[in-house]
Amino acid sequence: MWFNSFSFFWFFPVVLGAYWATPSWRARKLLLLAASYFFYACWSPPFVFLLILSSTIDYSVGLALTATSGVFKRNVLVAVSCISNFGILATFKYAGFFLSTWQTVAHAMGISVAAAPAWVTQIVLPVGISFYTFHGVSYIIDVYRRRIEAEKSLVDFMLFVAFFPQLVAGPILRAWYFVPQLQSRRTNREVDWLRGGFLIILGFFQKVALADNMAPLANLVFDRPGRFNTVELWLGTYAFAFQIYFDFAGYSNIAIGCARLLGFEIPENFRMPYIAVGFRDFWRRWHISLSTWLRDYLYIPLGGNRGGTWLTLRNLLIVMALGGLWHGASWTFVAWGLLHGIYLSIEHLATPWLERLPEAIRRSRVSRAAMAVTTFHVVCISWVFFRSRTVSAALSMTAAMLLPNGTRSNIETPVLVYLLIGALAIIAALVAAGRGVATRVPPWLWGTCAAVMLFLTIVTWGDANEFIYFRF
Amino acid sequence: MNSSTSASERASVRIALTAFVCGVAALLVPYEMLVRTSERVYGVRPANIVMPRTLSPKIDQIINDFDQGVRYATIAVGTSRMEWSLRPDVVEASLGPTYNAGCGGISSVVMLEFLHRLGPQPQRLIVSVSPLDFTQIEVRQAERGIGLSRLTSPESENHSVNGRGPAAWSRTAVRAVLHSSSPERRRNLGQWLELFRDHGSVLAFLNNQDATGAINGMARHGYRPAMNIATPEQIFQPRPAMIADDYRSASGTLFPRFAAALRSFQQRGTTVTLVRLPTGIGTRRAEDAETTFDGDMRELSRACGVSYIDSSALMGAAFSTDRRDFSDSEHLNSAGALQFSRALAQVLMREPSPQL
Repeated sequence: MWFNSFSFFWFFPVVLGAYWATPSWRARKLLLLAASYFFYACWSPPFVFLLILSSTIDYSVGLALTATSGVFKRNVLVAVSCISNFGILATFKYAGFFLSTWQTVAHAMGISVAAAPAWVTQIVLPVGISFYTFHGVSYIIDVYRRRIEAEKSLVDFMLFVAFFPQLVAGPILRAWYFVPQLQSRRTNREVDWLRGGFLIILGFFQKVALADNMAPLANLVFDRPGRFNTVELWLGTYAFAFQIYFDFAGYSNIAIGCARLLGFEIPENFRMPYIAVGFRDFWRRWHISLSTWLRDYLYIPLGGNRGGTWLTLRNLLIVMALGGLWHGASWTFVAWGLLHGIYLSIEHLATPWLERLPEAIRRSRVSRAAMAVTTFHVVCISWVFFRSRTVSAALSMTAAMLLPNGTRSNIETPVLVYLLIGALAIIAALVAAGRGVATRVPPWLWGTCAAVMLFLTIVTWGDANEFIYFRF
Repeated sequence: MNSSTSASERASVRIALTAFVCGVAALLVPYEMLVRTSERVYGVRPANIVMPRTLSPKIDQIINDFDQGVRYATIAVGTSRMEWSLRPDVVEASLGPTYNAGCGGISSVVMLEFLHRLGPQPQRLIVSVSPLDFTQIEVRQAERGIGLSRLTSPESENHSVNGRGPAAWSRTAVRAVLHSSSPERRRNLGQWLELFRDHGSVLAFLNNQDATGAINGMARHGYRPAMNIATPEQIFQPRPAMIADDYRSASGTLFPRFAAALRSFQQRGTTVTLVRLPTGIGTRRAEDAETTFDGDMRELSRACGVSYIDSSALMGAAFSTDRRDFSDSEHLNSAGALQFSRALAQVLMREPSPQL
């Protein structure tokens, strides 16, 4: 079920009404769990069993970890959980990719290999699998590190993994953040109805009125980049950069808003990433739940920045390449991740030099604005790899973007259209930023902004395009 | 939380909600009135507002046209190149009732499979082929465009998107109340800007071809005429499609799929002809330089036992350099389509023809 589908329009109010009408807290949680599985089953009923299987394994391993004190046994238990989680992920998401890569390598080395069995190429990628396996892995590692106690309630644990607002496209939840919320009864007096409702409308506006309006230009340019000149290629890349931001931020806002109306808090996932000054700053603002996950469960265990410059750079490259691969089974995603690893490495190496600059220059608005614009454009180049079909197509497109060509203009739609969309995007970003200074926004302005956004959402509602991050 | 805070919060919620409701009413009610006025002026009733069955209006049109029960002796399949190239009114004297099922962005491979499911059994099938048809980009786009149409195939008619269920009820209810929310009334921000730029009529704008059901006033049996003339740059400038890698990697799997689709029609007794359509000389040179397409097609046509017509041989070299026949680098305009359709009909009348 998609948030931007009519199914969700009846599903959510029914669940919300039934949830608050149910007096027993335990019954409410059971209701939410059933609703979450129903939500997932609307996409594919059989895969609910995979979700239940994955949750059950992690729940059992968590309990066993608490009951076990021996280091060896605890390590074995963690290994069991990691193998099961990553095994499921590898089977459903990466089997075809690994096999085709092996065939390509073998072919290049002159080794003859049998064709891939048909079933491998026909494996269906379960929606949200990358998200819920990361929930499970983070939970097990936190229990192993004794950061949290294993959850004793099966219902609470299953609900932590399957909570429908964030089930298929995040944000990636941590048990220490969410499970305690399940242990105390939520009351509707605590619910911030206003901000919850506002976030849902904002999310729909970002998805339907902004992201979906930018998709045609991005698709046009990325489908046949050879037809466009340098300016148009940049325009298409800007369109994709904002499309993916508004698409994913829209989903996150709807998820956070829905959770709030149910009395739960889900962490923020985006903080105006395109005004980031530098790449570390970018990753503190973009897909925050993934970047913190990678930091806590991959970068720091690898040694983080504790082992000297070269080890730090190695760790950055490994973490970002794997972060790229997490997005999808394709070398384009790995290239995207590696590019960000390179960006972060360069920034890491350049930081001591930059810090020698006078404070006044470093902190001046002009230099920060210049850094933000540079960061944005370099990030845009990484989006070319993310969106292109092949790495070679991305390289050709990047070359055409950086070396102006004389190809005649092919885009009939006036550039002004996209400037207009850009202006709207800025308004939406300001509105989103307004969430942080909510107390200073008068309530009538909240209401009016929400009305304008709802109106634009209704009149520009198109083909209910799926959210991009559903594929991950 | 003390009672005064609670009271002030309640007041804030009331103010915000009031502003929200008033704002929505102030925007939506006049807009809805405009839409309904447009419907009154142009005689379009709400009953005519139908849900699209696929993500492509042309595919919807094809489904609707075939639903009418008209039997076509000849069906032409392909991308927008075919859609703009073959005039049914010109060829039907020679080839019988003809339907141009060319559709922008829909690879011939996927289109053939879709048509096979849809069920028409023409005597003749003219299939346009170009390198782009055998790339993952085009196939993926086509599968997405046709995506929902599998729901309208006979075997799954019960699951039609117009079917039952709460989602369908709520969709119908919302669109019955708010005509402005239906996809046919959707106008994106770019279209709004163009309306203001061109000083167009708002009522006509709200009642465009999507809302009346016709794709194009001049469209006939799927053919979509283009009236403009290409610029010299469009004709002569090489236009690399940057599909060489995609074509190389995807054609290995798409050729067998294409051949299987062709055979499924041949088994029904349909005569199949593959046609490489005319493009500007720049595009043609770029395609030939990037891919081994021409040789691949000749081999494929031999393997499948179908004829292959390369229009550069059919129309002569001068045709692909005359911009008056093209609307852009790769599409014929109405004048070019007239010449090409006549020439093609003559050749097909002499079938089985030697490979051109």
